[in-house]
Amino acid sequence: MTGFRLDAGGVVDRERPLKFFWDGKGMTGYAGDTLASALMASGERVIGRGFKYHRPRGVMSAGVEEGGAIVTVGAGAKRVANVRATTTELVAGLSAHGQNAWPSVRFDLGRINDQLGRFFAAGFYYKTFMGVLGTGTFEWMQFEKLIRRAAGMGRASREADPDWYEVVNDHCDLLVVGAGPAGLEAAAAAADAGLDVILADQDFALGGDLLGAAGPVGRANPANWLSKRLAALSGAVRLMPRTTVFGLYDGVVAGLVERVTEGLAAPSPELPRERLRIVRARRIVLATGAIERSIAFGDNDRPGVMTLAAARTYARRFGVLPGRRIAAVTTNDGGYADAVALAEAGAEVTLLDSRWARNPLAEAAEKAGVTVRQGGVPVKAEGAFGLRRLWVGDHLGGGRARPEEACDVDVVAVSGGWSPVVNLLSHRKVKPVWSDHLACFLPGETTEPIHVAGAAAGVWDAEACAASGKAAGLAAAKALGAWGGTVPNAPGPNGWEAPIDPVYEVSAERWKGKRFVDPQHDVTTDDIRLAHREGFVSVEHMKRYTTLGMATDQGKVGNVIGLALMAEASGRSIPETGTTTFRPPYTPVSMGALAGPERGAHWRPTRLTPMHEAVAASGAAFVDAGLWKRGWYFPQPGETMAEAARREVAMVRSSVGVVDVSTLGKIAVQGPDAAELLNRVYVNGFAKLPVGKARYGVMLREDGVAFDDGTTWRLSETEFFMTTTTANAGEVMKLLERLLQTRWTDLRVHVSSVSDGWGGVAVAGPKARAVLSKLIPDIDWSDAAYPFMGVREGGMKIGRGAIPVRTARLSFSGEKAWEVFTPADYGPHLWKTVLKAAEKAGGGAYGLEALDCLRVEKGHVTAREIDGRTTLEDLGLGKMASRAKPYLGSALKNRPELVRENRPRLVGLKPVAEGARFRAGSILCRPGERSAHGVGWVSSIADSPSLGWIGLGFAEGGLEAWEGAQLVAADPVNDAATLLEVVSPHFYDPSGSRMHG
Amino acid sequence: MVERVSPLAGLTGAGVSGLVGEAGPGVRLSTRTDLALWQVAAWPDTAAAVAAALGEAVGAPPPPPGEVSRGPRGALVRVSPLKWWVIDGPRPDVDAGLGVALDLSHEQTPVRVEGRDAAALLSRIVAVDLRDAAFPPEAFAATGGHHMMLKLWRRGAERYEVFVMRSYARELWSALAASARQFGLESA
Repeated sequence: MTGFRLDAGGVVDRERPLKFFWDGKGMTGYAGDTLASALMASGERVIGRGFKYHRPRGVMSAGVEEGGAIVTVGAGAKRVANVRATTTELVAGLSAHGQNAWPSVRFDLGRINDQLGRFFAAGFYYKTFMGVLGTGTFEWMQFEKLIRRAAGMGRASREADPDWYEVVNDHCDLLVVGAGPAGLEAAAAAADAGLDVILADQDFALGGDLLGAAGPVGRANPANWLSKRLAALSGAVRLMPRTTVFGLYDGVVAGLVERVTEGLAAPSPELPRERLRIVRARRIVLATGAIERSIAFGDNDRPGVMTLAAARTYARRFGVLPGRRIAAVTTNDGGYADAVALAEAGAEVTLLDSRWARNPLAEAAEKAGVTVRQGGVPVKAEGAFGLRRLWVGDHLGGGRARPEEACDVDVVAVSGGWSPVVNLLSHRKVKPVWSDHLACFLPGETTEPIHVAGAAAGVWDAEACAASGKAAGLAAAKALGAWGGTVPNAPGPNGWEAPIDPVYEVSAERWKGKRFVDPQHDVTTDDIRLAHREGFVSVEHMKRYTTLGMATDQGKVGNVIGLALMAEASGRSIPETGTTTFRPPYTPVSMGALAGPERGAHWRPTRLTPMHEAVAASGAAFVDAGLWKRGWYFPQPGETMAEAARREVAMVRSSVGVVDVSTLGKIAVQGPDAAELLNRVYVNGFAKLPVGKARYGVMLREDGVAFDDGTTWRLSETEFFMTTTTANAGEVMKLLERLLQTRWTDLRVHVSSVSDGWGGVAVAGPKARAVLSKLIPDIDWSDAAYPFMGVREGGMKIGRGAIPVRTARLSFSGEKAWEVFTPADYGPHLWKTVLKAAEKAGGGAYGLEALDCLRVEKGHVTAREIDGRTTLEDLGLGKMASRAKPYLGSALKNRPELVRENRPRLVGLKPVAEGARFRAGSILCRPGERSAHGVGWVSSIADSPSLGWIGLGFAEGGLEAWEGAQLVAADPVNDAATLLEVVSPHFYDPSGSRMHG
Repeated sequence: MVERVSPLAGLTGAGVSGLVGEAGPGVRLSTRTDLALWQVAAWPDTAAAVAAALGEAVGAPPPPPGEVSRGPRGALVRVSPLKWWVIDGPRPDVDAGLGVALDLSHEQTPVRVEGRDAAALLSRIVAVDLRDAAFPPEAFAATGGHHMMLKLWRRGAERYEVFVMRSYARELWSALAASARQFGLESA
């Protein structure tokens, strides 16, 4: 017989039926159901298939530890695999499918694996797929293709996630994890004491075990107790249902995931699907409850075998009876109340208690209609597609049984004990402590600001859990100085009268059947003993060899049983055998929630120059330069990038071009010691730079390697405007701050980034002077009045008004050129005005592609050459270094490696064959000797309209060794090689005369 | 006078959007182009004197760290141990030996976040404790969020001003606007 809905009972709302779909079939459940309870009520038994053997599986629990009812929910882009039906809130229109089976979970061809089970024991892949067809990698890789297709559980959607997610920062005094009786009381007590409390629970309804409680809370009806507590808390405490606290981190920080739209049939796209909440608390109460264990007996994975409290929860919380004839199995007193609850719901219940002594609770159970069999244990379950029969036997002790008879049952509900949920404490490296008395791990002592209450602390009785929670809440309030009373004694662990029987496995001599420990990964008790026999004595090895505890439940179901069996096999106690460490997340967290808003273009911020919109309107294509968008080229209709760039280069050299240079790093260096600071960091002298002049400077790293270059302008005795490369702006700022704060603390100078405060253009070409004189008439642009490297300030006419401009006569392109900067909010006016004037003069806009070609033609170095490997001398700038003063890196630049003779030095490169091309990054090799690192590399290339394809690079010994000779640019990645001639890097206007005059 | 162009031009003034209920939008985002911002930097032995002089200039006592001091002629806040910001105040007149002044009026962009859900929205960007006891009106934090440096000023019960480097302004606005829709957004 299958499960069915009771006529009355449960906290589901029978006034709100919800239609849902299972493997395409329409069914009905109620608001308040989980997918599992709704499937159970509809009579479905086979919900999933095991990973390895493909055995049919049904619902095995009512919580996050579920190992059988693992399904796929949703379709298309919203499809999610490996979802636990037991924790999935039922919503109208929900569509779920079985997985890991073909064609369906009810009829799966994969089941052949079960027949071949003896070949698929733990670790089989270490012992197979070799030796038959060969022992090499090739052979293994053929098997790998087959294994890959068979492996994996469920299939994820390959479509882009249509939902959005966000990250939220929360602060509170006390974070309470779990809204069962302990958590509710802790939150209430703390809130009464004036603390700011967040109470989070992973379930969509608050109350924990009280939602489907077996018995009263003390004398109070659990439903009444619950509704009173919730009413008192609303408004006093921030309640977060559907929110899992998945990890605890340093600094009393908790990671939470809130499933925002989970309960909504048609969620608004304005809501994020999930929120990652980072909670910074001052103290934490863990009221995370405990998870019931099963027992490993013959074929204990048949659909219909589940944990006992879960069976009771389906009856009491969801109003669903899992079956009509139920064999309840227990090793502890807790099983009695659950068996009674099932009998009261109308099932025919036989309770097998592995303990022979007549239990004090047996009488009341019998009065409620339960047949109690002391000393009875389950031996083997029968019914591959749904439990039909259970073989039962006498318990001979230690899990050994003598089979006696078979009973016809549809459900076997097992309680092998309880495991307090100590995972979050484990994240804080607090090792749990084994209790022989309770046959479970209890939370260890800690100095962290964390209190554990309720079943998580081994307290089994509901009223005691509430008292435990209250004590924890008050203790937290007291620790924070909010409450001055005496914290009441918290109830200790326990709640059972008779001690638990530590049974983990039941077996009978000569009786076959797989006894499952970890149903998700199909790990059996034999696998664990096999691991031990093969020498895997450490529990860490046993875990990885058998894969016990490595599925989506991460050991919630099987860890303790596995540990107990390992202990027995190795003749040690459980604590001696050890325990594996729990790590975040407690339950799976979606990648979307972890990524939050950092997706696509928002993975990192995009930085835009002050003229971005205006440059875009001028027709630019953009390229990424770090975080910045930079104008790349300005194609005319039909032009390719190469054509546009060549045209722009020719335009700059023949009339005038305008380029946005706003991304350059700009640093205000201010104070009486400003000149001294610059003098210490640049290799050349800056102390005597006159006001109104700029100078090109190079900085080294402390180890003597070239670091960055730029021009620095002197605005006054005590103020400089320092520019850096775009890429290193932040690095240079950090370096200067570090030096000033830790080494040169006596210097009276401040540095501040002003990169974003100025918009700037370079105006370059023979007509640059003419263009600028018309636009900025209050500056005398003549060569005499405004010599090379001069700095002048003025105003640019814009309509009836003017914008202030700061200019310098600098040239990166090698033409007559000026850089013109204005405060950023005036940037668009600057671009539009200068560009219009340039176009009138026959010129126009140019971008980064042309800019780079222009400087390569001149042999000017950029970050492609100043790449962290090259020295000043390698770059051909050795003469810049002052001999009169020390500067950053001046000592280490002379270390042997940096001054040895045949270091690779800057050279120019041209292809020998007409029209040939080569790539930056190619290795330069002697012709005929293409190997290893060759003699150097190509650092930059350019497609020059006047010179053809040219490049810059580094070759051992530089021009002295190679000028006029040939090298091969070897490009093995692209399977190419080009014969090159080595020339001077100063291709265009080597004397530099075009900049002057 | 030439008009200052905000980096947010084209994004502002989009009106009301998102989940707006009877109580109206929960968040209002806006900016302004009239920011006057001067940074004054001092040295350890001159810091007190500079703070006092700046207090005189704005007409309010120099504030302790984490707090803005508002006077009739401007607002004053200490953004780092040796640096102050004079917000919407006069150009500071600092003796050369005591400190240095720098005009950051264009370097930073102010974004106003107002409304009953302003703090909830900001918690999506910054990790600062925004609860009333920890961050009352006139509180100020030099912080960051979404890989951007941010300065946050609580100007009233439901009014905040966020200062961001100009090149990041559109990114900040986009992030705020996207998260604000769930509260009901008015883009002014």
